[in-house]
Amino acid sequence: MDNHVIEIINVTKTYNKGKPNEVTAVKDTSLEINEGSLVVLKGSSGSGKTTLLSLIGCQTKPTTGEVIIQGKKVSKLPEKFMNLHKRKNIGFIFQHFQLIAGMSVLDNIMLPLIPEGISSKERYRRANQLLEQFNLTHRREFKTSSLSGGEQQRAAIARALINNPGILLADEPSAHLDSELTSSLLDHISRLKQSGHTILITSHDPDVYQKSMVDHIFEMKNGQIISS
Amino acid sequence: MTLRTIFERQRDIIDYSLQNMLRRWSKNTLILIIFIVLVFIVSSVLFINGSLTKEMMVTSMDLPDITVQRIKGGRQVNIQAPDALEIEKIPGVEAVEKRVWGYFYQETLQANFTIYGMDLDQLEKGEYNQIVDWKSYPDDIERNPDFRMIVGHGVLELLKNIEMDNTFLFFQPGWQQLISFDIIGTFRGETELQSNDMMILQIQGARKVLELPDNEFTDLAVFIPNPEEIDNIALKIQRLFPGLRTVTREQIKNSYASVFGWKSAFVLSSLLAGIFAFLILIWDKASGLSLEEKREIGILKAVGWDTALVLQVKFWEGLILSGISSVSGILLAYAFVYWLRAPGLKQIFIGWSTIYPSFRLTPDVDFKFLVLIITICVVPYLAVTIFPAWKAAITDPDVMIRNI
Repeated sequence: MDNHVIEIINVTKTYNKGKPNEVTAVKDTSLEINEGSLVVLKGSSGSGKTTLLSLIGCQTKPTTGEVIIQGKKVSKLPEKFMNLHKRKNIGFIFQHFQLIAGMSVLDNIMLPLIPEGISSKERYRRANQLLEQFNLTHRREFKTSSLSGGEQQRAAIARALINNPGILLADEPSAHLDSELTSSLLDHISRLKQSGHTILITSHDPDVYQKSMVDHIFEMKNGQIISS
Repeated sequence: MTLRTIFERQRDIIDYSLQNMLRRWSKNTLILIIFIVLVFIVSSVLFINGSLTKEMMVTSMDLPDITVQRIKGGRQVNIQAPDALEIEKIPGVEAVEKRVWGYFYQETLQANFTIYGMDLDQLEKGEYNQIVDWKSYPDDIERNPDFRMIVGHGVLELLKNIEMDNTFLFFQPGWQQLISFDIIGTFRGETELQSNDMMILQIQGARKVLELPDNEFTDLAVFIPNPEEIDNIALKIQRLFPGLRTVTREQIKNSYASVFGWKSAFVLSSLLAGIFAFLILIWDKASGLSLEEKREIGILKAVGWDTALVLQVKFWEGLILSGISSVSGILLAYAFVYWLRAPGLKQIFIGWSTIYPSFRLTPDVDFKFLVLIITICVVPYLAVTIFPAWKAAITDPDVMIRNI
């Protein structure tokens, strides 16, 4: 029996509705992803991959349709509960890492724990564990702006994992990495998959979606999934 | 969520707010400086006003209950001795003091002195003895007892410049000769607000300098033991003597208060353009979120922060900045007014001659005023900073981060 951890049902997302710059990024799209699988959303730039990922990652709400994560209709939840659900279940790695410049690596990684009211001792314990796992311990007090691309990437993954979420979403994770760093990233992703995480990656990089560990590939064009 | 968790989270938010402020230190330092200057200016003016008004209110306790003047053609003229006798007969009046006083303009010093005629022997024997530093003279010099005087500290300092700090020579162009007065004492510093520009002359000598005939006086000081009777007696005097004007102590106090209030308003109005410009600058700096700040709010929302939490960060940032500014501004104003004696600003408030009292202002801090100043600084600033943050925080993180 399929165990859908992510369900997208007839979702449409229109930005700037009613304004001259109105744009529909995702059109009447449906999608199901099983628990523990590694799925890649591929497609050219502007095909709607990032928007679909944002909808799944509770970064925005659909204009119409439903987003169901782990059985909960998150698109219908009020902000407070949606955020709670997001913190507990979803880790998001952004395309440009989206670390706060001027803040240390350690503080950036611990950011998602502040709303949880977790004690500082526990926060440091979790963050240090991830820093070690991603080989960033020596950079813990460095400002993120002084890190290399690969280090920033690892810091972003560590931040996404700090709440130990079941689902990991990564938007073009290899877009700013060279082939060596991409390979290292895929190793990390592979380990995360082995540890039971459900992973959804957007990418137009064959190095990513042609890997054997990928369970499923969806292709998007003009805001719709055209093949799976 | 337990109370401890809520407390810890609040501490983390404050920590984060402080980090945020430090990261934008240049912008925040600029706002802080402008804010401190604004609060400093307003607080200084209000501190001086409060202290001087209080000082005047305290010293006004020594004023007569009613001052009676004769008015002719709308001007004050000398009052006659019989008027005093008639007023003394009014039931309720305890005593009527006939006063001799006026002003003397010293051209070389370009200073106006307040001259008051008194019986200095009585003063030396009475309670006022304690507020004068008496000078001693060698006994072999013969002196006219009618030409002695006690001067305020400011007068003495000025007279030192023209080497007349032992003997002062009064002269007016119409006079045939100089009138020489021995300075037999100086008023002590604590009475400086009233005595700084004052010369207390032996009454006979004062009449010479003020050109006041023997049976005439400048005005009358009426003393009434029952405060409830003061207004009634003032009214009676006006009805019985239509040519006389009465001024009660309450009226003088009110006029002091309004003079200082007017001066405060004048100073603040003069600075209004500057204050307004500063406010616009603060508004501009505080209300606009840069793209970077918007992106950061987007990141916080993206990693699961609620709108309320983002607003709490901005609330603490605003509170810390405006709180530090207003408290620092008030403390600096306090030091400026009460320790440094408000150089440059005090002169606007005191005196009208060139002899400004150099007395130390007595602190008079009205806590309602402090709360008001802090409130008018903190609340609008919080509104100015929180509103744009709220607008950013209610926007989807996806939109903020991708700048759609």
